[in-house]
Amino acid sequence: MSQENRLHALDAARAFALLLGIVLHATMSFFFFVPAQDPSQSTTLAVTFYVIHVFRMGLFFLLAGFFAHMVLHRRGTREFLKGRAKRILVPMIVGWVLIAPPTIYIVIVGLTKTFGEQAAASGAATMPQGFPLTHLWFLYYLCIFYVLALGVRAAFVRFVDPNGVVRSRIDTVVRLSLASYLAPLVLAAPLFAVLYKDAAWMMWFGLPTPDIGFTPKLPALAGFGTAFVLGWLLHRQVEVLEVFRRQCFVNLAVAIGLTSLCLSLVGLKPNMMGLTTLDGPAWSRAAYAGAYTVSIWYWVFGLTGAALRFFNKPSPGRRYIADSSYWLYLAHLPVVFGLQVLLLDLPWHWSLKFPFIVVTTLAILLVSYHYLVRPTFIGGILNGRKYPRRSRRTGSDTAPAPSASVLALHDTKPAVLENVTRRFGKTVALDDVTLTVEPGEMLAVLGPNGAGKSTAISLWLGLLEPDEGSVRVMGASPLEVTSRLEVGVMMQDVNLAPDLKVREHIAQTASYYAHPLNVDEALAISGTTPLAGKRYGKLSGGQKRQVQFAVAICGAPKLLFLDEPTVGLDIEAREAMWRAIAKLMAEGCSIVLTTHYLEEAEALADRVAVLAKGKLVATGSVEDMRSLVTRRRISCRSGVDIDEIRGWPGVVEALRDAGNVKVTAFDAESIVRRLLVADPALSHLEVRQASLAEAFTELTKEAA
Amino acid sequence: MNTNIAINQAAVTRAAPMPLMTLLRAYATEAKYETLNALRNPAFAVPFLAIPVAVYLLFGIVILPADTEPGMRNYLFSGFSVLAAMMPSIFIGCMGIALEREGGLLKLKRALPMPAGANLVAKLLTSMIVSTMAIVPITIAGLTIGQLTLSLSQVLILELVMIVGTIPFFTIGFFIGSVASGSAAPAYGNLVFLPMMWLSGLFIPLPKFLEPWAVVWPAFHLNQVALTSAGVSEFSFFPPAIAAAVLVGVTVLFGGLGIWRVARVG
Repeated sequence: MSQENRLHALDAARAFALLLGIVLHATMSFFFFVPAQDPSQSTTLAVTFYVIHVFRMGLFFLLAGFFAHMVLHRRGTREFLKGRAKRILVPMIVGWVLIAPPTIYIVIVGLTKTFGEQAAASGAATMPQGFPLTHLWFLYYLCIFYVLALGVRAAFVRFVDPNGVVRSRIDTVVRLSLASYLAPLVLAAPLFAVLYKDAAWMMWFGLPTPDIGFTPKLPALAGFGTAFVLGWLLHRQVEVLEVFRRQCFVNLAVAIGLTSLCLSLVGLKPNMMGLTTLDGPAWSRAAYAGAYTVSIWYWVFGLTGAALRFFNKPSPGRRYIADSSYWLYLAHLPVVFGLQVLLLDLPWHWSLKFPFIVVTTLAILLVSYHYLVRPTFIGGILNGRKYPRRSRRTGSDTAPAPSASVLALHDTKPAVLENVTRRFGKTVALDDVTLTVEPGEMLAVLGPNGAGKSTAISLWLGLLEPDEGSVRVMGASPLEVTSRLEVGVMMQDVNLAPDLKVREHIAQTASYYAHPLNVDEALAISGTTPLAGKRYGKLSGGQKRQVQFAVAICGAPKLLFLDEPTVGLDIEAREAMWRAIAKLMAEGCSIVLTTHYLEEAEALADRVAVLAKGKLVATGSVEDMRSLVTRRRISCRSGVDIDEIRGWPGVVEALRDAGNVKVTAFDAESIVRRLLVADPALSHLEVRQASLAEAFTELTKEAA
Repeated sequence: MNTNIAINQAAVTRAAPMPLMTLLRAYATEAKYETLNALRNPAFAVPFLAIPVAVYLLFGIVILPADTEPGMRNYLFSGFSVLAAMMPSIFIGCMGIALEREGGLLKLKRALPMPAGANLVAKLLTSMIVSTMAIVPITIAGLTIGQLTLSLSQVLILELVMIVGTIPFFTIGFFIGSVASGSAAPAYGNLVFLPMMWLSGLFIPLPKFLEPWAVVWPAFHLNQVALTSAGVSEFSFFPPAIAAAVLVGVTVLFGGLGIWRVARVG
């Protein structure tokens, strides 16, 4: 897996940890009294909270350590500090000023609603006192860890381990212990020791959230600090992450088993009367603390592995979510708590309220992210970059504006592609193609299947937008409906409404245009008068094409796109259509024609453009095209040895077909002379210029 | 060079914006032919017209015990009217657009200078017309043999709300059609329609545990809005303003998603 793909996966995991926080807080009113106690209580949501709370912040701090080491080594200490100040310190302080007060207010309102004013006030008095860090505590602890990490690292590099021996030993230990599946047992030790000895430990709530007071709390330092350090060490040897990917399912299975054990010991819901004690034998406290702290690590490893396994491809949607997750998490708490308090009096079931809260919160915050954060300086601070506000239609608009004189010139051309590139995934359908249709001319676009013909037409029709370059139709962007008011279209593979009559189809399409032909005229020109009263669904394939042609011309267009117009027509109908096309051209209509029938291009087109593999291979008159290929074909009946002919200068190809010799050559005259000398009995001699079809095959073959 | 440009400029005049009359004519023509095409295909239209009135006659009138409360008769009448309103609109919405997409017609229309909203408005009008045609027989049946205790004006208000209330269902169908293929669209349509019909509490009592969930179905909200508007307070379970807001929200959400999808992907 490439370095980049690993980062995509870990970024997704970090976003996952943050977004789960929204779910976590949204469950609280349904089994707990903060921010308020909902009348509809739920064991399901209590268990949801419990499980998320086991691993969420551990996962987050592991990734934070990993990314911290990465940024430090990519950018250096100074840039690291600057970046952390901007992305962590500033949001933390601004958040304390702007997000914490409304959150606290909402909690007070919620508690008052739940317990009544007096009880809430006396309850507040017994709460632990200190500065309310709220959910932004994780930024505060990140700052602590950054400072400690930089300090320890500096001391280590300078005094303890100047030549890196100890560090490489540590790397080996990390690598081997992770591969053994048993690392969680060691990693859990510090937190286990702290929690097991803490008599006030509220066991159901696991690692106590350090959200009050600036004094760093021991459990948080032990639990999250270990995760941060491990993340830091992991980035020293990123290939170790492969272990997580491999072990993902085993780790997750163990994690689920341990968490089930914990739940069976402590109960599915918190027992408010005995949060610090456990029913059962004396060893159950140790068992619970052990299983809980060890399970944290199996969860973290399993989820990291799952991310590496399933989210290792870049995806624009995931990228967007990952970018937005930081803002979503910072701003979610007042919204979630607010909705919980608001919904308190509604008699809805929790299974309705809870999804409503989560969905509404996400909707509000995503909209605010898209419009207020992503394109503004806030996004610049939170994501490290600001995304430009995209214009509604990009593509032709994003190309550098052409100078005024160039614009004026192009406005006189009915249809222009200028340096257009269009990709579909990794396929380049059009590669820097410039193609112009002159007023009153017919341009035939030729090329094998997949050459880019349809892409070119679709760009002109406004069905696609270019990745690069500009597209103009009648002097304007084809995306504007007004630029199409003088454009007619006949596409391939279109089913018109089957139950409308031919006349009605023409009337319907004609209504889109400002100055259309009247229906009878359109019927007459296209030769469909006899079909006028028939339902479209009842027509033959060829007749349908004729009706589509009538629909294309009924608006009296000045520019007409015909995509393989005569496929499926009999000779008579085809010639009738050719006559109609010639008449339109005589009236000044410009036409773009794509066709497989080369004689069609030869009969009608002023100019031919040949596309192959997305590139414009050649453009010019039909004559130009032919002379581009100077080769000629000689065929005769002769006994001359074919290998001998192949050796003559100027011969491109020589074949024997039964008694016939077929030679393709540049200098036909001298070859004929040599042939006559070599075989006086030669007969049936024929020399001809390559047809457009052959010229075309040659050209596209060369491009391939 | 300059003279060239001058000459050529005569050949290509810059397209003028569409005059208002042309625009209106385009909308009207589109709607006319859309409806015509739908009604000319009886296989398409008949189930929507026949099924609602048939089930109303059977379950709302014939098999009801003689001592059924009049209030229950009114409620069933309203419930089956919702059925008549939503069934054609969901399926016309999804089938129409899905078939057009599959047949390349939508692409052609995007390439033609069809005014952006004409196709959608035409389909919406078609769905409202067909829904009206499904509602009228139920109204007649209710007024003649339904033993309703509603006044004529109450019945008319109720049905008028139903007809306007087809819009959110049309947008749901339209959204389905904008993502599904022509052959899959009716299946997806049924996937929405069938649960909604049964779980909205329109005509059968719901099991207790499903009751709070009725509010997720727009049909429930349309029924509430219609009943309240007609002054039938007996069956108001839900604030009508919120119900109406839900319907507007559904319209905006699915209409918006559908338009966004069709404009981009076709």
